[in-house]
Amino acid sequence: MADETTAPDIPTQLEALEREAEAQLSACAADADFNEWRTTYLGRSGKVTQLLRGLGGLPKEERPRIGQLANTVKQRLAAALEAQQAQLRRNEHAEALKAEALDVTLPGEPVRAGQLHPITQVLNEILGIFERMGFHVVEGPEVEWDRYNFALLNIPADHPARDMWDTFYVDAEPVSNLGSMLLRTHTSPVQVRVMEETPPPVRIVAPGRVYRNEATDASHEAIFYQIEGLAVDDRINMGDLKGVLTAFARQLFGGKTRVRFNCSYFPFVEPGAEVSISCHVCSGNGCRVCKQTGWLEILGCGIVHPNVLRAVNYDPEKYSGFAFGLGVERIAMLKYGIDDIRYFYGNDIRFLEQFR
Amino acid sequence: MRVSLRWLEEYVQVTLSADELAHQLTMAGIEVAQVIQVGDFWKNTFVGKIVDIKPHPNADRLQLVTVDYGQEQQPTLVTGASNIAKEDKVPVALLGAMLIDAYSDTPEIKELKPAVLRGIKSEGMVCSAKELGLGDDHEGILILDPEAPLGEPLQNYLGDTILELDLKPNRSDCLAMVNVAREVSALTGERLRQPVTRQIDTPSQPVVRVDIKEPKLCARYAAGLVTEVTIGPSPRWMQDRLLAAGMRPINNIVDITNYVMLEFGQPLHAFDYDKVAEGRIIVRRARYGEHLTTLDGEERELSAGMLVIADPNGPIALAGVMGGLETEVTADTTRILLEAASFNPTSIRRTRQALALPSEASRRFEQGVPPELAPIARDRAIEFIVEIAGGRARSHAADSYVRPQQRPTIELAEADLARLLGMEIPITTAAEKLRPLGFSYRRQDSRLQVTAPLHRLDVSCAADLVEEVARMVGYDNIPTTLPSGPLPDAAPTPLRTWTDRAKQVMVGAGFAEAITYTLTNTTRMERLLPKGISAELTEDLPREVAEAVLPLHAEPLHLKNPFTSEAGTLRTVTLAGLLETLAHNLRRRTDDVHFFEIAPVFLPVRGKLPEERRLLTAVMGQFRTEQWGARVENSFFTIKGAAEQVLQRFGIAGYDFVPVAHPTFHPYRTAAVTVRHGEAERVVGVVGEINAEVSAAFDVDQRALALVLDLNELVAQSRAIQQFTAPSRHPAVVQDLAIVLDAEIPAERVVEEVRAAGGALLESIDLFDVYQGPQVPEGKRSLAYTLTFRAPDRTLNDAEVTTIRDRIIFKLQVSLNAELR
Ligand SMILES: [Zn+2]
Repeated sequence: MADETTAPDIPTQLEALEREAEAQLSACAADADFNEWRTTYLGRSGKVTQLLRGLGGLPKEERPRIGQLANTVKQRLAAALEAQQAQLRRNEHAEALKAEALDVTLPGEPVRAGQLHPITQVLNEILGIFERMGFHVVEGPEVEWDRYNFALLNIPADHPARDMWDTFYVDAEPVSNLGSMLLRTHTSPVQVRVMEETPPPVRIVAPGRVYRNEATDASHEAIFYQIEGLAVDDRINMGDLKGVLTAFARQLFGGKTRVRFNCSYFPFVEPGAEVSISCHVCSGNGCRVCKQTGWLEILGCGIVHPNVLRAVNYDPEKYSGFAFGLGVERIAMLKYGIDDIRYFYGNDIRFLEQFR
Repeated sequence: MRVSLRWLEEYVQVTLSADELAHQLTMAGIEVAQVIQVGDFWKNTFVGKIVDIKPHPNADRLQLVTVDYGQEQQPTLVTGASNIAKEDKVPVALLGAMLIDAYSDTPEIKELKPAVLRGIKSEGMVCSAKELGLGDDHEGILILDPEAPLGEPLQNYLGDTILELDLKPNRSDCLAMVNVAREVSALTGERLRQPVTRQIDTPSQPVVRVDIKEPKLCARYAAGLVTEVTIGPSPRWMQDRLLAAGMRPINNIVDITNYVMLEFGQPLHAFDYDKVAEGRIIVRRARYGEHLTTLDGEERELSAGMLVIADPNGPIALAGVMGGLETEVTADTTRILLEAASFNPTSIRRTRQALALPSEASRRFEQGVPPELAPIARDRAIEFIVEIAGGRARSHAADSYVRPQQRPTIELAEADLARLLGMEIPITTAAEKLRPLGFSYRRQDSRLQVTAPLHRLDVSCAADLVEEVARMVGYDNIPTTLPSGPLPDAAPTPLRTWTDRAKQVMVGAGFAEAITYTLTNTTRMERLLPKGISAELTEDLPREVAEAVLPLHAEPLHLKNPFTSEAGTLRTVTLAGLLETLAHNLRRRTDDVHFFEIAPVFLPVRGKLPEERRLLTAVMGQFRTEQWGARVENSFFTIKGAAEQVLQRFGIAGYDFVPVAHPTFHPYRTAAVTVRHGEAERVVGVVGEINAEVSAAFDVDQRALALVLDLNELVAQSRAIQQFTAPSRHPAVVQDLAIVLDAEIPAERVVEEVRAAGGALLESIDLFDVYQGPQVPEGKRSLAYTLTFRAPDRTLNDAEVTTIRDRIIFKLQVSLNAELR
């Protein structure tokens, strides 16, 4: 029974010693304090070691248990020391950081970055959509011949459809076969230029500046941008036209956009169509933007007229194609809610900077 | 074209709501721009009859009218109008009616309230056309047809819906009510009731002789004759319909010609037969020097070649455009010669353009009126004239149709429908779609031989028929697919790719993209030259700069028909437009205005289209803003940095900045940008500070900097993909080198010498300080560089680097008389 009287004695003492050490530790605030504490409790002649010296009086079989217990206490105290020191370092560091305090509400350093013109941004977005559908981008001249702007597009001289375009003519001698020099009224001449050079299949989009001899107002500019599209192969049909333009409209205006095709007329297509999308502002319920109709007209299109194909030596019995043309400003205006087309060429930095 | 549904119902029953009908027409290619409800606001307004008129006891100008509107009570109303008589049917508005305020400038609808007029209480009004929104007439009361049903709410009797059609040039046939009715009939399946005409032939009438001298310009000329007519107003119902269509009633004869034109699309003209010499109509070209006073009272000089209607004494009408005043139908006219003709669209179009004289008739002729229509419309009009203006008629007084045209047949194959529409449509279905539109056909297996109805001059090939079938099937019913064909070969065009990349560089460098007008005028461009300085430059380098990017010496292309003189010329320079933009923006804020544009100039090439050279242009003002409003000055080096960035992005290895004195720029702060082109250096642009006099001319009141690069030339020199070089795994030896040398010596020379002496192991040389001042002798400056040495395959030792460094120093001493600092 000797075990029962002497053995509990050392654990109890260990426990008391641990509590004492912990209490002392919490009072330590400087490196010197910690060193002293370590010597006092954990040192070679520290209190824990001293206590263990009394181990000799224990029965041999008790010794390992008590020894283990003492080691655990030592480890705990060492960990406590480390934690306490770390805490103290953190506190000191926190003080130092406080001295570095900033007013985070002050404005950030401006990053010097300009921005693309909104027309370029919308143009790139639109071209990107068609490029992903396998169309590739082609450009053509802004100054054109009558032949390309009109005649080869099934709009012969004096055709009443010519009234659809108010044309600027260049003061230059007309050239036989090519006719008068003019500022292109649409990007459609690029269609003809491409087909003249390339056998089918063809899948292009042609962006560019076009000109109309018109008075300028909130919805008309004498100079604006169009994108022409053309696809010709041995099986293109109106369903494909609908598919490509529906996919386009949904990518540009959102996946729920409804697309409507109604019959229309452009001399270089037959059948011809106009495309409207459900108003993205009111979801088709009617609002100021869509003039209460729920629909916004965005482009004209159709199946390439056989006369146009014939004019570039494509056999209209074998090949068919679709073409479309859209006004970039119109789309940009719809997209950003811009109510006056003249902003685009005013180049007011306060307007342009909104499109960062 | 304004289509009155009330009128339309004479030819086809309208079973749809106006909005639904408008939608269906629009989907089928007859765009309805607007649906106008006439009288939708009328209430408490009835058809009444004047039973008594008495003078107002207290006012000379007013009258008291008692009206019967079908109720027991017969109210007495005060009116200022004098065009009324007992028994007239008039619109009677009672209290609570909504009327347009005829005295307001804006069309404002007001409720009719009780009023006391000069002591007499008035509990209603008799209304003018204007008050009802039926026209502009407020002179008198609107007199209704004597047949108007007494007591009927006016809404039921006169209310109408107008469809305003926005017709494309191919569907000018719908400038005729019967053809609109045909469309409606085809869309809704309701039966079409076309007016039936007959000829009247009263014997022993005076002669009409028609002589077509220009059968190419006048395919057909049909004439009718009516004698003993009485000129007067046309009946109310006809006037109502003309008003609904937007035409002003004139007199019964003119109204009938207009009415039949609106009904069938055939313009008609009525001459006073007695003023047509010898009853002879000659269709010929005008002769040099001939004149004609047209119906609008204008005396017009005719150009030789314009088509006219003449009698033996001279022109009496501009064919298809406007009649002559002299042969006009007047109140005294008793004999009418009625013209129904078919004129060449181009001829009419040219005359209309030359005289700037558009009319309802010319519009129809320009878009084509089929010759077959002439006698039909003429007979219809003659019937009306006899019925309305009385008289004796010979419908068929003359008809000259020199070369009757054969209607072509067009083949429509079932296969074409599927091929072009992507939808299988049986040929029998196609036939069913075409029939109600007036097409006739014979079927052979899966093909139709189709003849278009006479009014459809726009249908001339199979594709046209495909559209007809498609629009009747409904575009909405065509499936939505994606192209299934082969993908074409396509190489991206370098100019566009590089344009995009250059834009990215400029945006990254803090510039806003501008898009300026490509149209300008010479004055605006010449501001780039100080006053009195010629655009012809004699020295080589400035001239090369001008030729590359500032060709002010080139004569630009001008427009024949500019809209304004400000924008009548195709620009040959871009810088002027951007300096205008800079000035414009500097007026609002003085800092941080940095613009660039990539756009063409137009350089004339004899007999060809102009060269569209694409230039990259950038401008900046004197200051930029950095953190918290810090105003930092932009210098030559700021914009040069942008230029270098572009050149590096293009992968152009051998470029140089060579001092140049060009009159647009500061003579000592400007460089020509040159690119090595084989052996030669080619000028591709210019960068520098704008000459102060030039800035001032553009209203830029601070230093401005500009860059212009020829993008086409840069693209030609570009290197698309930079070849990869493995980064060296060996450490670099970095040393500083500061030297003092003559301030005149360009820094570029130092770099060249250092590079030459440094050889392959000198990886880079970077300037880090430029100093000129008391620390160095007068006329000298100090340049300090960081030199980085590295070998790709080993670690350099100090001895190697020292050897190279000594060689560099020696070279600098010998070549540039530089001293180590
Ligand atoms: Zn809307």
